[in-house]
Amino acid sequence: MKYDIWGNETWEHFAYKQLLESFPGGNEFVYRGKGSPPGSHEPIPVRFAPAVDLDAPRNHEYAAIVCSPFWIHQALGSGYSKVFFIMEPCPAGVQREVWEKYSGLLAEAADLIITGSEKIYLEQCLRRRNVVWWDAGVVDSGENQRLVGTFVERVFREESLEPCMREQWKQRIRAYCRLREDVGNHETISYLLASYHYFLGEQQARELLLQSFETVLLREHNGTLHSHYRFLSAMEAQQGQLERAVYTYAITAVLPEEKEALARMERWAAMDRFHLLEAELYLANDDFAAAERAALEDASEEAEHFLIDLYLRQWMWKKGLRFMESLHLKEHQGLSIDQIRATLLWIRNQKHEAVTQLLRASLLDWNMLLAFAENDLILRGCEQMKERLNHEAGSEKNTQSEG
Amino acid sequence: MKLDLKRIRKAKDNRLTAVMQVRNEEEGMLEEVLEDLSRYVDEIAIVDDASTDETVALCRKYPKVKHLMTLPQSHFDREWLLRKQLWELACSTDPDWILAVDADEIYEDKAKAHMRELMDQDQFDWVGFRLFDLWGDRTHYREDEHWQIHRRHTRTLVRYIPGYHYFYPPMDHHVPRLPLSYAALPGFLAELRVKHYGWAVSREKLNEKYARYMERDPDGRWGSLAQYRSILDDNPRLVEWSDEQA
Repeated sequence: MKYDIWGNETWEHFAYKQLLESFPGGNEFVYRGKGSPPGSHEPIPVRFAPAVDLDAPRNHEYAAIVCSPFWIHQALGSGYSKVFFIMEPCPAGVQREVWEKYSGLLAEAADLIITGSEKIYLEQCLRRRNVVWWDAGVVDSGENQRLVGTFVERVFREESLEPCMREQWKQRIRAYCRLREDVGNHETISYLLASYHYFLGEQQARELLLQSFETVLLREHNGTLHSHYRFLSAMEAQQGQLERAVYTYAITAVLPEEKEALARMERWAAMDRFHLLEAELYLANDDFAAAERAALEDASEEAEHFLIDLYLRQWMWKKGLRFMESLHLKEHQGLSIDQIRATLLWIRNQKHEAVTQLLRASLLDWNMLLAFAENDLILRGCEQMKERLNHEAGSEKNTQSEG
Repeated sequence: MKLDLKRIRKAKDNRLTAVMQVRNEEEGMLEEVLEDLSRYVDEIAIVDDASTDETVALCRKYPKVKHLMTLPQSHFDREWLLRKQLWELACSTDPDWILAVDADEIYEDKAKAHMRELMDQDQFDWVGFRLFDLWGDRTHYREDEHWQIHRRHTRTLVRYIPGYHYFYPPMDHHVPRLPLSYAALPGFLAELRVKHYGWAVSREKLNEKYARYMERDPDGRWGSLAQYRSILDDNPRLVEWSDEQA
């Protein structure tokens, strides 16, 4: 397979060289940006090409490895057969909202999300089933490297990634059990163990979470009602104890919006709409993937409205658009269908169509034009990346002209 | 599906149960405390920690003492167990709110007057009060570097939420009087005061208390040795107590 790598640093400082070794055999990597200084020893063979917009779409032999949402046009508009998105936290100096929106949109379209941050990994596991955590060669390296390779292979074979996800959760449990043997009872270790057992649907999650809850309180870190106690309600819902789950959630429902969610749960319960009740419980726990599954089971118009809301808030706009179209909705929560269509066209580099769509929509609502400002931020971010990757450190000689 | 969520944060008609652990209180102020509590709580639950005097008989004199558990052997050196037993006794009475009182504490009139208001709401689940250590007599409280519990709030009034995860730290001494898990629930810090008369005693009694503390915790594992020693101070800094209008 051939890969175009759209990095976030020059090759010399590229943090994911070791990750590329996990990509299964016979690969050709093209790094977009300047090459390494002469005489540098590289762990993998790589060619270099300038980070520029491609003149023509790549053929299906190429996949993209993308390290920043600023490359969203290159990733989604260049005809790649597969897109691997290496997700990172928002860098300093970048508008967080924009970063998160375009990371979300890119994640929705990507075939696999890879991250070295366990926080991002956990957050993404609550959203989708095509995420892998890369240990950056620090711990359990061989095991992790093999698993990343299996993920990539399954992406190309278009097989479900669920078995790999489960395997990784089991690996994380083994790693944290070993760590707990070394350092003893620690609230973060118990919390992470609880989270991974929860992903696996295992009952031990509850006991571990309570252990963490108690340890946190003993250390007088008292803001644990939402982060710890509420999580119990998701676990109870997962184990089919819906009544108990709502009760647990109700204990944590203090703010007005939390009480509103509770009122909705009570309404669904009174109507015996258990899938929607479950969906609300998962949503209250930020388990968007489980909320989505539960709402899809309900398959009613109310469930579709629930899903539209979830999809739009989580930047899963392609799915959101589909439901809006089926319900003939022109807008949802202040977001118009034209704006969504325009954004989805724009990120796929269909800029002309996107602009036409936005201008047409702006005849009815001039606020649409604000989308141009946001697009401009992404374009500027992209230009800065090109500048940095093409002209910062590295050797001119190593850069071959391509694409 | 019929959900029963009304018990979680009931905003009216809340009942108040006082809970207390006692041991050999016959010569103390238990009668005065029970007399006072009987005026404003709905019922009282007591665990007697193997008293060898007439404490139990004294408790039985008060009709509001509806639940009395007597332990055949003292758990004084396993305080968390004692707290837990009292808590379980309280929960078995299906209370709305629980007031944890020591056998030598009296809430000021203003606090008693506001007690129902503090309970009949759905915003918070516990209330912290300011406890004052009256010293030597009933007219002054002590305030110095070792005696300033009144500068912070002590959680003594809590809403009972059935099914919540309650736990006590498994410590032998200085265990909080109510489950630590209340710290995760929303609370209210009231500017209302409680008079603690445990130190409003004669010089001889202070000496006895000091000896008891040192015997129980000679290395200062559960408390501060400097504070234990300060019990014997000849001239502690005392501030006059003044009652406020209810």
